[in-house]
Amino acid sequence: MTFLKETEPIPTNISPETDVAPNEGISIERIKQQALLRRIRKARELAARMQIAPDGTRVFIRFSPVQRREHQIMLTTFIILAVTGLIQRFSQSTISLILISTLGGADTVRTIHHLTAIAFILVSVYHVWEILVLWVVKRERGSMWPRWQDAKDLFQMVKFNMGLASTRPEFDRFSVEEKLEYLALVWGTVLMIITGLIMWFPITATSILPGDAIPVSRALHGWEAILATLAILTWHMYHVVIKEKNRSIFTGIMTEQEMKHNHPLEYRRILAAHKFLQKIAAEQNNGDKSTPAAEDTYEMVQAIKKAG
Amino acid sequence: MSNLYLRYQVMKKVAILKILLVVSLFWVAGGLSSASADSPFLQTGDSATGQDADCLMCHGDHDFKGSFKNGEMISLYVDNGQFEQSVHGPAGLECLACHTDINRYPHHEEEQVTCTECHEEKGGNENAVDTTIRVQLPYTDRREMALAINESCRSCHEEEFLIAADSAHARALKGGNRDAPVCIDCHGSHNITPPGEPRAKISHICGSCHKAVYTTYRSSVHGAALDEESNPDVPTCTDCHGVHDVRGPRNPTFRDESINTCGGCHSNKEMMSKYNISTNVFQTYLNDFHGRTVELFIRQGTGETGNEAVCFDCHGIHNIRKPDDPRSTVYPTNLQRTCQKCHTDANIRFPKAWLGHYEPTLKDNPVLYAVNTAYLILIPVVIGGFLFYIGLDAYRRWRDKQQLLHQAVVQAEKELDAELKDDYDILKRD
Repeated sequence: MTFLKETEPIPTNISPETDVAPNEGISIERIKQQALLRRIRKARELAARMQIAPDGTRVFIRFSPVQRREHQIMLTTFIILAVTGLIQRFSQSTISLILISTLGGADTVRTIHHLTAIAFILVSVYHVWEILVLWVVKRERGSMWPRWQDAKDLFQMVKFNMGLASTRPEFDRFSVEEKLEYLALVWGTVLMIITGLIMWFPITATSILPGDAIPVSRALHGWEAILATLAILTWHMYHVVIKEKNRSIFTGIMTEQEMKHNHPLEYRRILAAHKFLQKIAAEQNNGDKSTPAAEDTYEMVQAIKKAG
Repeated sequence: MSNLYLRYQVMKKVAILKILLVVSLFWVAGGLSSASADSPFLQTGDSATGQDADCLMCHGDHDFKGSFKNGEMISLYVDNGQFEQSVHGPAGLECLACHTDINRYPHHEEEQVTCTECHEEKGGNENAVDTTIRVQLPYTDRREMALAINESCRSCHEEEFLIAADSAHARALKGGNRDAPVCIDCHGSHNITPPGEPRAKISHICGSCHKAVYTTYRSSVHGAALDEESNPDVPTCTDCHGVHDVRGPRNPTFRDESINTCGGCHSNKEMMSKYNISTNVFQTYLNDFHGRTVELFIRQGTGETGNEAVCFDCHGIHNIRKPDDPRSTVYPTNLQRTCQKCHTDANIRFPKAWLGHYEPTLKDNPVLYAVNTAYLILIPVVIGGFLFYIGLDAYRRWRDKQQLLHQAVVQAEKELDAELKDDYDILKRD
């Protein structure tokens, strides 16, 4: 390292045009390499969704263990909240009275509702954290993100069912039916948590909000409870229980048959990812060891082959 | 059991003395009559006949007196005229109808009427005609006599008597408060009139002991209307607190059940229309959080109760006033303080959480009105949309399945035809 002598004047006439080359640090080759790595990473992610079961059949990963746990907590807390909430909403009916008495009285029912709400809020906050990680760290929108295609799918589905279209729409990882379900859940959860907390802490709430917020919250909470419960009973129950018994949220996996039928686009993308990775691995077999990523991929493809 | 037995023992012991008690009570209730007493021995009412006339031989005397063991004196005079105007007089009841245990004279060993006090021919004072007749009463004091004589009400009014035996007053009596009221303290004795005539009398009677509460009540919207206008609709003490079964406001269920007491009148359209008061007040209360909960507690019937506000927590108890009266606890400027009774930290915005017994309207509660309206549209539209989609989907799946089945049948028939050739033509489908 050299130091400027004190007597030597510091140059002031440096021009970016002349002293920094326009393509300095920018190399097409390097960018290509990075893009390839990105595609390989994406392909590996997709390919990992297909696994070989012990009986040799292909299974497709739908939900991670954490996501399955989230759904289990949501399912349990939702049922408890709906029951303990709706019997308060319709407290004047005889069924409510019987249930409330069985559960130990109005105050006990409220305590159960509040404690369950805490669990519900925690699992919702965790989900928000996951979304933030997805958006901020991974810089992906997520496969639940609504697209214009979803609206088209919805209309095509109706048209097909009415006999006005010849084919069913082909769904990707999440169908428009599933996205609507998720949208309703997000909308309902946000609304229920906010209005619930306002009712739970009315004094604190009115230190920020006008007094009207309390009766408004009470109305919203009660109405949304009805809407959410009906939505689960109709939309969700039809699509995952009545139409076909879709257990993937509990088992985490789908069979190849189910996958082809319900998520053909994703199915084809997963297969394409495998093909892509195999091609890269083949190049690597031909002696091309120039990129470390290819080496990684080679090992992975070997592992998949071995498993299959 | 032992209590009952004891009471029975006491009753037995004092049975004979009851006559004297009743007589004294006649006096207590009737006060000193100003009727002329030229001939005290024969000062009987016109209608006194038979046995009653016998009784009045002595008890018609203004100067007939008894003395208690503590030295206190009491007049044993009975104003038969007053008795005849009471509910029992015209009903034909005679003295012995109530005083069933009087069967001899003197009624009790302790009576000490000295014949010679009057009858000179027996060697008595010849000027003794106007002398006060005195008897020694077998009681320590007036209250002891009153409590003993009260038991005789039971022989006819058993139901009311037993209900009253469970009341807060009876509990106070058992707890040692001898002044706690029994039948005759409220109803009187020889001067009993039909209950509630006039209605204001009820509150006056209660007020004779519950002075502070009565003063407050008299200035309330209900009490003032009762006293000043003889209003037939406003509640008197007994309308809210009960009559013979008066329970006391600290009874666990009194609080919650009070809403039905208030609601009973305030949801009565006919009655409320006279005063231009909305009958929605009760239903709107029941629709809100407080009312919903309290109603639930009542319907559960398990005795569970809470601190959710009932009518009187906001409107006041004996001091209820019209909501537009600045002294009312629900007058807008007083509301925050009223809420703070329970919600200690309630700020100035908090009272707005209560809609003031009004159904939400577009003008007064635009947001709430909009929410209610929106959901009444949203729910049928969303769920209807879902059902439409589901119905179509289910129908299409069913139809596709039927088609597949049909194709399979056709195919099977075709294959069968090929296998069997023409041998079984006759069995082929039409």
